Amino acid sequence: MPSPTCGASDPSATACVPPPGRATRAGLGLLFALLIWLAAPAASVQAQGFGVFEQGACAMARAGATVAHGCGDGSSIYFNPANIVDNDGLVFSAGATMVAAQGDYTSGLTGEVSDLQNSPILVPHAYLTYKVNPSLATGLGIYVPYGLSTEWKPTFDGAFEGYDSGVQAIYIQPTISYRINERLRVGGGPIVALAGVELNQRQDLSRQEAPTGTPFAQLGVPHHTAFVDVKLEGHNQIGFGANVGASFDATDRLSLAARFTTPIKVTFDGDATFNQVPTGIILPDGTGIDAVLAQTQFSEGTGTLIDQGIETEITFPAQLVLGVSFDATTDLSVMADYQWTSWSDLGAIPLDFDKDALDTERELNYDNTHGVRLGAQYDLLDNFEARAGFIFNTAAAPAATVTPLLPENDRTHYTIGLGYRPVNAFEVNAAYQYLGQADRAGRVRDVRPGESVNSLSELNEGLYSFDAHLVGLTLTVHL
Amino acid sequence: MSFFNRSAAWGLLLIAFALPFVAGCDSDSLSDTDPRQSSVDPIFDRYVSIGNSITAGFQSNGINSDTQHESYALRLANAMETEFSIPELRYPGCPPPLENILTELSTGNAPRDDCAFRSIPNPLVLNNVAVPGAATVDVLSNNPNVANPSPLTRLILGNRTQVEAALQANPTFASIWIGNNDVLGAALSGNPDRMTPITDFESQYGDILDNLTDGDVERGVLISVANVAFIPNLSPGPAYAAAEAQLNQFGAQQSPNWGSYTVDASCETGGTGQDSRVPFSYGFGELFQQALQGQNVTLDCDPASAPEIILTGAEAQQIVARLTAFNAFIQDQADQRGWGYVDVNPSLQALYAAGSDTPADPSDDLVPKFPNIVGPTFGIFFSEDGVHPSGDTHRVVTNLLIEEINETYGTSLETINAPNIPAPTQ
Repeated sequence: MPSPTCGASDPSATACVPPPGRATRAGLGLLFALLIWLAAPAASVQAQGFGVFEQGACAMARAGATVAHGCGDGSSIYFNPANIVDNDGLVFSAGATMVAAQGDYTSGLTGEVSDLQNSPILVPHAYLTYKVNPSLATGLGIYVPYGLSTEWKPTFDGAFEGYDSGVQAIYIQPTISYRINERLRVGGGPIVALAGVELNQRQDLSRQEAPTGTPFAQLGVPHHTAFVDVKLEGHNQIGFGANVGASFDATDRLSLAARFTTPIKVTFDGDATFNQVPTGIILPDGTGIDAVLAQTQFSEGTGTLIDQGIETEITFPAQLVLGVSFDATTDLSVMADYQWTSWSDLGAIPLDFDKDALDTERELNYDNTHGVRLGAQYDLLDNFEARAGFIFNTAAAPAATVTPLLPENDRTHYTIGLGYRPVNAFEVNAAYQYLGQADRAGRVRDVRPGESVNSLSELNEGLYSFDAHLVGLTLTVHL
Repeated sequence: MSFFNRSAAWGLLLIAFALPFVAGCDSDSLSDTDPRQSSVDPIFDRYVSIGNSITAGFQSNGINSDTQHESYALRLANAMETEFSIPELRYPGCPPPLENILTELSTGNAPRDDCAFRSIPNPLVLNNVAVPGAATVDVLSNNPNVANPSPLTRLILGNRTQVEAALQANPTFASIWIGNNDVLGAALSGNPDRMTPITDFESQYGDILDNLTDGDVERGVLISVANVAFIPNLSPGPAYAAAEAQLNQFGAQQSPNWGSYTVDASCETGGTGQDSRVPFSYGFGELFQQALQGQNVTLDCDPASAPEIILTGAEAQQIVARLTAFNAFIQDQADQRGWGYVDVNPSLQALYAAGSDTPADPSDDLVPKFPNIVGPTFGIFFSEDGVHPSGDTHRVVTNLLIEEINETYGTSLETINAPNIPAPTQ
């Protein structure tokens, strides 16, 4: 099997030049680690659940079908660590994927359409690999495999489920890859996950009880009357895991491979901030509710809804990917991957406040997901490659938890891209991806006082639409 | 490269890129979410009703879930076959409706000032946003400096105005029956000064319609201000004169301390106060209660000497003139905006007139001119307060609306079962 180690285009058999001195390599690595650290925003919804699979423009153009046929840009640190031993010399890559997501919610109750407010964001990645000898390679990768950002207007009816939510996990992965024999390679490395989470949500006064025990709803407070804006956030928390892979060249043209990423649990010590929202409500007996709430709920000392600490934990799910690559011709390679992601690891997110009365759980009950990735790569010229791909993945969110937080459904993605290597030492890869999501019935509310449902899916009273355009660019230096 | 290799490669590519078209995703649609839709016509998908006590379903000086369900607005929504959420009030009510105004028994024997608050769960959106007691100014404002928000306003709407609550439903169709309280208080107190000035009414009513138009409400029906001359709560002086003996007999049955109840000659047909109207709260309330306590009382209908609460003929004419002007404006607005317009007064007049040609035999009056001592106090077409229509009259009104809506919008709403009423005289 021809080695893909020199990436998108390998202008000559001597393209993979020897590595530079160690000092230079270390300096580049540190610089880009720092840049990633500073630049990494919450990524947007794009793969299954809130997984992000666009960790390099070469792989992205092939729909991520990369586990058995790595790109030579070091992204195999994520896609399959076994493959970095195929890289020659020192390879350094950095890039980003711009995600422009758009979506809306159409209410079945009112017919009104509320638009998702997400701005385009960049999801960066950086990799450094070094071939120590023909059988051993090392590397360091920094990438964002999980990220979520959904932003709606605070006045959106679904703001009571969450209107500005973000989760991100930056994985920092030192890696080692070893060629056991001519056909078999293995690799892996520990992961340090640096994670952050933020949830902004409004609370509905009509769901609360007056001191007499009477629900405010019974006193005439309308459904979805916001009385407090809650921000829950935790940043820079660390979790640990590992990413391992193996590749086997069954024939000169056919390769089989697998990769497994462990689940990573991150515990957050965060902050909960409460801001009272004036309701203007005057109860039938003439009581102005805002003043009462200010005194009883929002005041230091007696109140519960005061700024305080919060603990929570999130488990970023395991991933198992099986792949095959086939060199159909000397110029054309086709690849197919199957991915399983254990979103059920996520279960429920506990919210443990300093004030125990507020403790709750956010049930997610996500389903494990399945994805199929098909990719092809064709050498147009010696230093110019064209790529295309297709992805289908099932949804993580079950019918009961299709909310503004993750209004997800089965998705199809179409990808296309180019790789160009104008000189031996430099390579540029670009990719475009269209993400189409099937419309999904979902909800913007929880159960009301006095209401009984067998499943929260009975509250799905509207339709979420979503799609996204992604553009990826990765620059690679081969030294 | 061999032919086999090339064929295999292209074959693989073909399979790979055909997959997207056969894999596909199952899309949900809005119809999977049980959206609010009319099975009669899309223009009725989301109907809201704006108004006062009548639209809210207030009857017999009270309101609860039972009376709310008798509102014409809900019956119209049923005819539209569209979902219609109301601010349901728990039994016995808020306040509980009267079972009988003469005995002052309330539903469930509850105290008159009782309020059982709202039923839960709360509606996600409100379709009937009408509030008992609302005048035209109250539809757009809850500011106590300019409007008259009441505990019922807060209980039904929270902090919203009727228009705000209505627009939250993103209505495709609206009905407005407002203005009755811009004249009713004047009629029941005998004080025309309490009427809303015409310019204020026109400005307020126009603002309501403009707000709805700004909220993309393009279709609806406007309903005339009901003529207070046709409500049985205001009895003609001659009816009291004819019932003087009956009054004293009934009073003596009620109390051993009964004094006497005299109806002045001014109240009789041909008397100086023959056109005066006696509110129930005075003729059967204040005066009757005094007589029950042993006093000798006299009902005076003479405009020159009667107490202010007596509505004199001249005052009644003033009020009718004002509401006629209101209705001319409402009709004009309906015409300008292409909305339907229903004038309920010809039907109310026909009801009121039925039996009037035999004044000596009040038993054939469809609307009693004097409260019935036995049976429904104000007949079957008015509730026990003599002001608010009964469920039967709501049915009649519903059909008036259906006929007008069908004519205006070419729809095919089916009329509902309703009592026969005399044909309006042209």
